[in-house]
Amino acid sequence: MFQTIIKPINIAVQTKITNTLACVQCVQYHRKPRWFPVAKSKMFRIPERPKKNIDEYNELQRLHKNYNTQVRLVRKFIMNDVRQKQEISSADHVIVTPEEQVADMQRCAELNNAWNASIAENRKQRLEKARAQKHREILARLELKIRQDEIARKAAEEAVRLEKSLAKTFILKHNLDEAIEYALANPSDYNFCINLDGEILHGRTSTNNEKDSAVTAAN
Amino acid sequence: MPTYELSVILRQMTRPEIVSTLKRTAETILNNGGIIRKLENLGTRELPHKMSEHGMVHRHGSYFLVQFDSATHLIEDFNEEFGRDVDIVRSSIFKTQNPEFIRCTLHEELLPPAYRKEVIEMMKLAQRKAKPKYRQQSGLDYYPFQK
Repeated sequence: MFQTIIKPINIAVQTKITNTLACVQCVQYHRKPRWFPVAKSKMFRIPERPKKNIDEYNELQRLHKNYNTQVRLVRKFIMNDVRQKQEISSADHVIVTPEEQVADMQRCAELNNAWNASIAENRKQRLEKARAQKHREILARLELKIRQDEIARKAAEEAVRLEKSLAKTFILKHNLDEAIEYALANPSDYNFCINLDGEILHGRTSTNNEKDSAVTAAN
Repeated sequence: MPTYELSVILRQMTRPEIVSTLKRTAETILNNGGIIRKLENLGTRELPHKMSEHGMVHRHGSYFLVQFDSATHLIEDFNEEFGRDVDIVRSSIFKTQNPEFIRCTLHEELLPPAYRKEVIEMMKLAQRKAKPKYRQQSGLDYYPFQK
């Protein structure tokens, strides 16, 4: 099922094409997907062990052992050689006396101290600079805060002043009747339109005014 | 206290009835510690559609606008109070907002496209994004990028 499937051409198609092409077949390649289990027919099949030639095997073993022995010998020879050369030469290590060691240590310590001093100086300068910068920033922020407070205070004062001036027109219980009478007597209308000349026409003149006025008159 | 705007539609009534309804409405606000800033009559006219309220069908109504200051938590109470009033067809309370300042830019918009600021910026952007193009005045007598 999962091997090459040879599908014959549809019979209806076959009848249409010529006899010379009748033997054309569509070949479709299929492979069993990776996750498919072992086929039932192959489940208990024990594969036959490959038979090996004893002589050939012995010969291969002999060559293999032979090769390993020779490589090991060469390696040991080279290692001995290197070890002997290292013992007699002083190419990779310097023989120092205790006095020299102390002097070297002294020199390293002095160098290190000098470096530390220069870094400390740099750090001091940098920190001072940063501190000054921070100081300036804080001062600027304080000034900004003072300015903003002043602006806010002025805005609040302005709002209070405005409210105080408006408070005279507030409608309270004692002048409620007057306000209602005034409102009923003076209807306001926010509708307006603009004609092509830029003239603003207030009121809802475009609507059916007769009807509205009739209603108003009825009240 | 924030400023609110109460927009009410009263049912079609006689003048004394309207006065009493308005007074009732205003006193509801005043008795709850509110301040009325303005009371406006927007006229009596036909409703945009027929409205059924409190078992009655209304086709005409009187429009009123009340600007008032009140505590925020009282708005729900007001809504409920005005909703129960049989003379009020519709009522809604809005928070008033300061009118936004809009600069008139009509004279700029009416300019020919080439003089409009946004068009000029758009053209600059297009020029910046344009792909490099072969210049015909380079002096070569053949086109070097022919495939």
